[in-house]
Amino acid sequence: MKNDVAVHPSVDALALQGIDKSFPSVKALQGVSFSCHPGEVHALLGENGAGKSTLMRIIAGVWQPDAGQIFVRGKLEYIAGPRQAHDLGIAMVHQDTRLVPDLDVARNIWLGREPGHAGLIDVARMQQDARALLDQLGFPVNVERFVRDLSVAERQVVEIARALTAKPAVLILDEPTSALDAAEIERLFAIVRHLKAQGTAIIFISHRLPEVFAIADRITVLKDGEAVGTVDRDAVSHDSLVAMMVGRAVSLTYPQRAAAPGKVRLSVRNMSCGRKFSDISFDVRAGEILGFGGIQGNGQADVPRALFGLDKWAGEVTLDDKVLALGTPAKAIACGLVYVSGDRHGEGLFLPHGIRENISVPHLPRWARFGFIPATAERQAADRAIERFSVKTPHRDQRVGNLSGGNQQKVVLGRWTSEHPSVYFFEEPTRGVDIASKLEIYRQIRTLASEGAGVVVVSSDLMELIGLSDRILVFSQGRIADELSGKDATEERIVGSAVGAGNDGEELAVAAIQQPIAPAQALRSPFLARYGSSLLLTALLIVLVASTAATSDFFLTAPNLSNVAMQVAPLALAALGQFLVILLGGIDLSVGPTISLVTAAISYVAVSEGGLQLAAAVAVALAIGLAVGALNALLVVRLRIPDLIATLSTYSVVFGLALIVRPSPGGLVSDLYVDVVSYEVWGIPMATVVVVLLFALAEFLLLRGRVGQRLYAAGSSPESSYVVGISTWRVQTAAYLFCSLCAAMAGLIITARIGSGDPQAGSAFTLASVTAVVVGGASVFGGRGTAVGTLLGAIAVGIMQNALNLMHVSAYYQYIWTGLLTLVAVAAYSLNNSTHE
Amino acid sequence: MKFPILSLGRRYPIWAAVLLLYAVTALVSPAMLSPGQILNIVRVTAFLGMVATGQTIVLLTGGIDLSVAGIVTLTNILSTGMMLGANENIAVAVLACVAAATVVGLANGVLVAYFRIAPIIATLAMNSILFGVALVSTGGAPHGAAAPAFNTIAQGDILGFPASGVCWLGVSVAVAIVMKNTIFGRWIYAVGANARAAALMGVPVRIVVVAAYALSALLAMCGGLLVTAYIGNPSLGIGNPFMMTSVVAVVVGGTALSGGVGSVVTTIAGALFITELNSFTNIAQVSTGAQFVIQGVLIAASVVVYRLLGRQSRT
Repeated sequence: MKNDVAVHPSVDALALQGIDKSFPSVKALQGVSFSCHPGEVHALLGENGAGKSTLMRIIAGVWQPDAGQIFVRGKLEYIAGPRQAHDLGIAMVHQDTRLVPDLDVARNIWLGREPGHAGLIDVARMQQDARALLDQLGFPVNVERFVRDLSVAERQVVEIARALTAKPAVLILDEPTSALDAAEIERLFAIVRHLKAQGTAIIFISHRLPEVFAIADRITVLKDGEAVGTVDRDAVSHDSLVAMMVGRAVSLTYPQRAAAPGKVRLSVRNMSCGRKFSDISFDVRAGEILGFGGIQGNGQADVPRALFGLDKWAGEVTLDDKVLALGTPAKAIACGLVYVSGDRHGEGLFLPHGIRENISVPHLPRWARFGFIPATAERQAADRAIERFSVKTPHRDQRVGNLSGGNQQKVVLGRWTSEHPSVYFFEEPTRGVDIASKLEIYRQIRTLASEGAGVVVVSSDLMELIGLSDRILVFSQGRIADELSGKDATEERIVGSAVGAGNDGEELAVAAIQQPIAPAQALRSPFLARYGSSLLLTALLIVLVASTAATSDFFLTAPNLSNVAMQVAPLALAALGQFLVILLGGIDLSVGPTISLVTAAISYVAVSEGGLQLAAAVAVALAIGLAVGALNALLVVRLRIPDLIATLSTYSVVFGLALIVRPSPGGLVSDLYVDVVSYEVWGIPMATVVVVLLFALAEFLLLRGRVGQRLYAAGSSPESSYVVGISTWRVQTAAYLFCSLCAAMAGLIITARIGSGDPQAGSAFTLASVTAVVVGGASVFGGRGTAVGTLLGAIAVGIMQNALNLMHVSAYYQYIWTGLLTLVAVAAYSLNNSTHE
Repeated sequence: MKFPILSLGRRYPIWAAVLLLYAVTALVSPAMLSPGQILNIVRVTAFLGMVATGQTIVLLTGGIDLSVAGIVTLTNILSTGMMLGANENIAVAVLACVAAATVVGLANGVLVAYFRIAPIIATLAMNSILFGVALVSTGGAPHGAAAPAFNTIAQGDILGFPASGVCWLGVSVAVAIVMKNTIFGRWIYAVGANARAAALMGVPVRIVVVAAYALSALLAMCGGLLVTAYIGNPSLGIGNPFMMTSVVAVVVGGTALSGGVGSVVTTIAGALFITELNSFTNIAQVSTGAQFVIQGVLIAASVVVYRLLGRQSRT
C-alpha cells in the first residue's frame, strides 16, 4: 500500500471536504476542508475548543460527520467506526490515552489485532514485537508491566507504539506533547521525522507554536469550528500565524484590567502536596485576577483542589491575615473560598435537576431554618443568578441537562454569586463554551474581582490567561516557574517557562518522571500481580483444611472428600458464569432462579430409565440457559436497562416460571440420571473433573485467548475497547449467555444431588456465586480477576460448608457466614485498592 | 387536555395506572367497588408502602437496599418473640426492633459509604446474614405472638380509616416533605445525581448515604411491625417478597435507579399499584408463579416506559 502511495505523491493520503459536525449544544465543525500528503507533517493548530479533536475523531471513525466527504488515497470513503478507519490505514494517538489499565503493555499495544491464530494469541511474538517497537521509539518500557502502573509519559509512548502496529498510512497525533518534557518531546520528534521519511502522512495537533514550527511542513489553522486557512511553514511568520489563530481576540475583547489591586486577601505560603506540587507561595489581592498557567498536569489545577480538601497538603494559608482551618470542601466554603471545577458535568452540575436546585446546594446550610429551606429566598437567589449571567432559559426550574454548554457554565458560576465569598478559584471557566457566553463569563469574573474578591483562574487557554489575568503564575513540574504581569505576558514566555528551559528544570523533569517508575517495577512481578490474591487464598485454604482435619477425623476420608468435590462442582460452575459477567463490571442475579427452573423442568423429563431421557434433560437445561441468557442480554445490551434491575427482573420472571412448573418440591428423577451425573472414577466425581477442566480452559483462554483479551479490555475500559474496534455489546451478550448456561449446567448437577425438582433449589446460589467470585479476588467494578481465583473461592465456600457440617454446626449458620465472608472479601479488596491509589 | 386520563397519564403515569388497574379489577369483580374494599387495599398496602418509602430514599442516593427483606423478617421474629402475646411487652419489643434496625441500617450505610462496597452486594450479603440470624435464633421453628393491643395498629381503624393506612400515609407524607423542603432531602437528591459535585459543594456525602440506609432500615422495620400486627404470628418467610416488591413499587413509581430522580409521593402510587395487582391476580386466580413473572416483566417494562416518556417530554 505504502509503495503505491510513494509512486503517486500527488494523491493526498487523506482529504476532507466540507465537514460539518454538531452536538446538542454546540456547532463543533462547519464546512472544514483539509488534506494531507504522504510523507508530510501537517499541523493542525487552534485554541482549545476550536474543533481540532472533533475533526480528528471523525477521521479516526470515533464519530461520524453530519455532512461532508472523506477521501482516503483519492477514494471516497465512509468511515463507520474505528475498525474501518484502521482498515483504511488511519491510526490515532488520543490525547487522553485510550489504554486499558488492567492489561499489560504488550497486550495494550496489540489490543484488537494480536498476533496469533484464530482463537489464541502468540504471546511470545506479541511481547517481542512490542519490545522491538518500543526500542525503536527509544523508550524501553517493560512490556509485562500493567498500564495502570505507568506514568503519563510512558502511557503516551505505549499509545504511539499501538498506533504504529497498524503501519498506518495516516497517523494522527492529538496533542502528543502535552504530558512530555523537553527531552521527551525531542525524542518524539525524531520518531515523527523517521515515520515521515517512510512516507507516512502525519497530522500533528497542537496549540504550541514553537513545536509546530519545529516539525510541521504545512499548517492549517482552525478557529471556532472553521478552517481559517492552510499555509506552508516556510511562507509564514510566527506573528501572522498568531494573528490567524487569535483573530478571535479582535472580536473577543477582554474586560479592562484592575487599575490597582487592593490589600492581600488570600496568602498561601510553602504549600506542598505529595508529588503533585511543592513549595507553592502566592498572594491574591482584592480586585485582582491571578492566572495559573502551564502545561496541563503540572500542579496548577491541584492547588485549589488541595485547598478544598481533596488532597492532603502542608503549608500555611491565611485569609485577610487570619489562618484558615481547611480540610474539607465544607470548611473551605465556610471560610469564604469558592472552587469551580473545570469538569462541568463530572463535578459541577446535577444534570437531572432544575437550575434553582443546582444553584442552592452549597448555600443550604446557611439558608436553612431548623433544616427547612426558605422557598422565597431560594427562588430569589436563582432568579438573581439567572439575571446576572443572562442565562437563556424558559424557567428557573428548567433541567440543567437540557441547557447549552454555555448556559450550563453560567449556572455553575452563577451558583456562587448569590453570596459574597472572599476568594474564587475558577478552573477552565470557559471550556467548551460559545463565544458569546465566554464574553459574558469574562465580564462577570472581572466584576466579581472589582467588587473586592480575589480571583484565581486556572486555564490552559493561553489567550484567555493573558487577556483576563492581572498577574500570571506559570507552573512547571509542580513548582511556580515564573511570574509575569498580564500586560507583559506572551504565549512564548509562558510556554518557555512551562517547559522549563533551564538546566534545573530538565533535571527536575527527569527526576519526576523516573521517580514513580522505580518502586513500581521493583514491587510487582506479573505473576504476583495476577495470582497474588489466589496464593493468599490457597494459604488460607490450607489452614482451613488443616484445622478441620485436626477437629474431625472424617474430614480427610475419601467418601467425604468425594462428597465435598460433588458439592463444590455446581457452585463453581455457577460462579464461573457469574465471574465473566462481573469481569465486565456487571452482575447476574438470575443465577439462582435459573438453577431452580432447571431442576423443576428436569424433574419432569428425566423420570424414566433410558438414554433418550438423559439427552432430553440436557437439551432442556441448555435451552433454559440459552433463553435466560438471551433475555438478560436483550434487557442489558439492547434495551440498556441497568444490569442490576434487568437481572432482578429476570430473577422474578424465572423464579415465577419455576414455581409454575413445579409449585412445590417433588418428582423423582430416574436412577440412571442420578448415576450418570454423579458417576465416579476411583472415588472422583466426573462432574467435578469436567468443571475443573472447564476452569482450566477458561483460565487459559483468559490469558492466551482473544476472547480473554476482549473480556478484560471491555470490563476495564469500554471506551478504550471501542476505540480499537472491539464490539463491547457482543462481549456482553456472550458473557450473559455463558453465565446462564453455566447456571443451567449447575442445575443439572443439583437435580442429581437432590434427586427431584425444587423451585427453591437454587435460591442460595445467587449470593453464593457472587461470594465465590469476590472471595476469589475479582473486582466488582470489572476488569480484574482470574478463573483460578474463582475456583479457589468456590472451593473455600464448599469446604467451609462441609467443615461446619462435620462440626455439627446448624446449617442455618450458612446464611450468616456466606454473608459475612462476602462482606469481608469485598471490603478487603476495596480497602486494599484504595491504599494502592 | 381533552382526555383528562391521557394528560394525567403523561404527567403522572403511575397514578393513571393505579386508576386503570382499579377500573379493570372492578370490571372483573364488581365487589371491588365497595368503599370497604378500597379501604382494605389501603390497609394492606401500608406494609409494602412503608418499606418502599425507605427503599425510595436509598434509590434516590443511587444505591439499593436488598436487606429490607431480612429486616422485615427479623422484626417479625423479634417482636413476636418478645411480646409473647402480652400487651405489657409491647414497648420493650418495639424498642428492641428499633435498636436492631438502627444497627443494621448504620452497618449497611458504613459498608457502602466507608468501605465502598457496591450497594447491591453489601445489602444482599446483609440480607443473608439477617435471614441466617432469624433462622438460627428460632432454630427454624419460631414461636411467640403479637400482643392484642399491638394488633390494632394494623387491624383497627382511626375514624373509620384503617390505622395502618394512616401510619403509612402519615410517614410517607412526612418523608416527602423532608425530601422536598429540607436540607437533608436536597442532599439526598444531590448525592444521587452527582456525588462528586455534591462533595465539592460541601455536602457530607458519606454521612448522607449512611443516614439514607439507616432510614431505609427503620422504615422497613415499621413495615415489618405493621405486617406483624396484621398477621399476629411469627413467620420466617414473611419478609422474602419485600425484597422484590419494594424495588418494583419504587421503580414503577418512576424513581430512577441511577439516583437523583424520583419522589416518595409516586412511590405511594407504586405501592398501591403492586397491591392492586396482587389482589387482581388473586381474583383472577393466577398462581404465585405467574405473579412473579408479571412482577418481573413490570420492572423491565416500567424502566423502558419511563425512558420513552422522558424522551417525549424533552422534545
